This record gives sequence, structure tokens and C-alpha cells, in this order.
Amino acid sequence: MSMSNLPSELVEEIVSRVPLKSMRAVRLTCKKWNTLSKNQARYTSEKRQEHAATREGESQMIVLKDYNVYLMSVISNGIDTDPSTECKGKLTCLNEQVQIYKVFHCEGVLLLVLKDDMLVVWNPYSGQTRLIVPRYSCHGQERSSYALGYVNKKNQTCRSHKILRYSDVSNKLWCEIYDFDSGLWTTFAVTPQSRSLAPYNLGLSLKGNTYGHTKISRINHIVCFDYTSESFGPLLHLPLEEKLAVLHHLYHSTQIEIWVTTKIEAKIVSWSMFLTVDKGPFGSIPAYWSFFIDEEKKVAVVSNSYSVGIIGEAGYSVGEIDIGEPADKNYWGHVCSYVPSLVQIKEPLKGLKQKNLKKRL
Amino acid sequence: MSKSEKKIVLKSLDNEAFEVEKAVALQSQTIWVMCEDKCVGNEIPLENVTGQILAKVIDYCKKHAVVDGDGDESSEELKNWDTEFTKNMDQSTLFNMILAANYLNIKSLLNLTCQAVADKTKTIDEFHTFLNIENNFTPEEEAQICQENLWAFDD
Repeated sequence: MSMSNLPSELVEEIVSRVPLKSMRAVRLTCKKWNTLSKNQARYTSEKRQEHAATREGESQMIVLKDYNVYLMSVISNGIDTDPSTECKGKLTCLNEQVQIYKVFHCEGVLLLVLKDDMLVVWNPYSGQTRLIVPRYSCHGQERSSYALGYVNKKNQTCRSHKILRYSDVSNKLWCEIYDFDSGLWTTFAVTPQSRSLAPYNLGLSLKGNTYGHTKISRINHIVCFDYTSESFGPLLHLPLEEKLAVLHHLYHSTQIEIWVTTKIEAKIVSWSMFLTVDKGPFGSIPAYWSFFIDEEKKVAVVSNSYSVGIIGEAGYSVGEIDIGEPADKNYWGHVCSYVPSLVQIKEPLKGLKQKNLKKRL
Repeated sequence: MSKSEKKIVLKSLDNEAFEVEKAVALQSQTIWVMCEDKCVGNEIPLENVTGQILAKVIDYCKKHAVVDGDGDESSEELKNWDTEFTKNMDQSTLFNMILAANYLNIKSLLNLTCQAVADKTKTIDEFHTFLNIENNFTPEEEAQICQENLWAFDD
């Protein structure tokens, strides 16, 4: 009795359960599996998503550490037990050692920033990738920040992704945008609202637009970058369907507050309080820590690249991320939540020389 | 309901008979439909399952049945039991279990056994050897797939 005795729907059932980190192996096993795996990625989303979907209390996140990207799952059962983490795989590029400087997540699609500002846009779930060459390189990874968003166009099955690049070279700011449809970069004007965006992190994307944090005259604001109009919106007041959450803690206060949006558009925003807790062991949460919330359980998962904490109304629990101590303590890494999706990435227009792109990698 | 009505006899392909509680057997949608239709008596012939496999299926169903207050095992315990249950099964038994679970239409057992096969194999070599799948790519096709899957999460 072997696999070949099974009817194909059962083979498909098994293949759909193979963990994400064996995806490459599945595709290289035989023709049938390669097709199955691809079809699944494209058409029978529910099945794979259902299985990859998380166990009770499990959330997935992407951890950038020592120039490597890991997929981690955090399992938490509230604040009474310490959260545990499990490494679900390390990002590799076949036959090549690569260093990843930055990572940005937008609804199941990752934007990876490599050496010389080379960009890879990748959907880990479907395996689809697209390489993007910058018009120039800043030769200093801290000088540019990137965000990935999209425009929902009617009558199109595939999202039109766009990349926002925000660079600070010799105190001169400039913004440019890469359009996946045309395959071109265009520069646009920097407005006062965007001038003071946190340079190391452009924030996160929600419903296709990117929201970043900015401080003007010592007051915190949120700025939205709208990929449809390709411009920054007005300053939005903090405490800002599908929601954005903000973790707010003041140095002089003993409390941490988390607010979530009840309404969010490029120009309007309204907020409601999600939870308040004493600072406890998180005396202060450095700005580069990441967090995401679980609305159902009313907890927040706070994390840097070596530990993870769960914050609830009644207190805390803290666990470790077991992928070793960071080699470079000054390099703080990055963590973001990850939700698998089958969002497609547009293929480059024909005529673009993919081979040349590969060479430059 | 008299005592005998609560029991049911399952007969395997190789004519082995198993007497089980009805509540245990009815986890199988296939058996449930047969009983509903009253097209069978107290003895149900299962033409696609051997006695050896049927015994294992019944073990599983007994563990998962909620009979007269016996079903108070915690979900944690059940999960551990499930893990142990599939842990030492060889591939051939697992595939037979998958076929049986599919035929008998026991969704949770099908999920468990398919997941067990998926979890036991991780590398290309394992897929080829344990699952007995032949690599039918030409070197060019293989190179093409490598190219398409340059980036991946790996161990």
C-alpha cells in the first residue's frame, strides 16, 4: 500500500497539510505534486488555509534577526501561562546566502530589502516572487525605508501593488513609488506631513494604505499614505473596520494604553480604548518593539526579536523566542504579524530582463 | 431501547465480526446513513476494510465516542492519545487508515491520518522513498521549478 493507491482527492488532502517549510520539497517531488501545490495555492485556498490556520491561541509572525527572516508561531493561552514560540522555518534563497536588511508585511505579501536596496516581493504561501531593482542605491541600509501597499482596481483579479520608498540622503528627503503594473519608479513631492515620519519604520499597511507615525511640535500623529492618489493624507489624531491599533505609553505614566480604530480612512479616523494595564515588566517598551492584538481574547502580543510578551487586562506573561541570541546587539531586528493569504503578485511586463535582475542579486 | 439494540455488529472484508456500541459506530457517517435507511439489520458488512484496520478504527471511535458520560476526557488528553495512536503506524497502515476513514466517512480520523502522513515526511528524499513517489522531472523542468521557488521557508 502506498501513496499511489490513494485517489487523487486524498493525495491532495495530504499535500495540502504539508507544512509551509516543505513547500519547495513538495514542488520538487514530482510533476503531479508540483501542479497540485500550485493549483492549491491558486484555487483551493480554503483547504490549505484551513489547515495552516492556526491552532487555538496561535498567531504567526515574521521575525527579522541577524539579517535572517524567520516564520514563528506564538502560542498563548492568555496571560496565565507563558507564551511559547515555535520556529516554522527560516527564509532561504536557493543556493545562495543572502542578507535581509528589512522586511515589510502587507496582507500575506512580504517585501524584503536586500543588499544594495535590491527588493524581493514574495508571497510565502503561494511561493510567488518578483524582483525589483532600485533606480539608485543609498549604500547605507538605514537611509531608506520601504512600505508595500496596493490599489484595488475594479475588474481586476490581481491587486496592483505599489512600493513606497522614503529616503534620507544628506538630509535631503525624497519619496518615490514603484508601480507593479508599469514596472516603473516615479518620484513625488515630500509634504510637510511626511517630513518627520519615523525614518527607520514606515509603519504598517491596512486595506492597502500605509500608516506611519510622525511627531510634529512634540505631538504624535498618524499619517496615511494613499496608494491610489500617491500622496500623504492630512495628519490624523492619535487616539486613531479592519482596525489599526496603537500602543501608547508615556514615560511619566505607569500605564500602557492600547487603542483601536473604529473607523479609518485616509482622512478621517476615530478610536476606542482596547485595554489599559500597568507597565509591569515592560517598564518601557522601546519604539522598535512590535505588537499586534487579538481582539477576541483581548490581549496584545508584544515582541522584539528575542522575546515575546502577552499583555492582557489582568497582567502579563513573557516567553522567549528560541532562535538564539542576536549576534549583533545593536541591530534590533524587526517583528511583524503575518497572516497567510493567496494574494497574487503581478508578473512583470514582458521584455523586462529578469535574467539581468538575477545577476545583480 | 433494549440492550441488544444499543449494540451493532460490523463485519470486515475478511469476515471478522466486531460487536460495538451503536454510539461508537455512528461516528461513521457511512454507517449512520446505513442505519437510518434501515437497509441493514444489526450486522453491517464493510466491504472495503480489513479486520486489522477495522480494529484500529474501532479503537479510535471508542476513544472519541461520548457514551453515557464516558466522554469527559479533556481535549488535551485526547490530543495526546491521537498522537500516540498514529505515532507507530507504518506508512502502509496509515494509508489503509486514510482509505478506511474516507470510506467510513469519519472526518476527524481522516484529518488525523492525513496530517500524520504530512508530518512524517519533510524532505524531497523522504517524499520519494517513504511515499514511494517517482521523480518524473527532466533536469530542465527541475531547474525551472527551482527557479520558480528560489525563496522559501526552510528548516
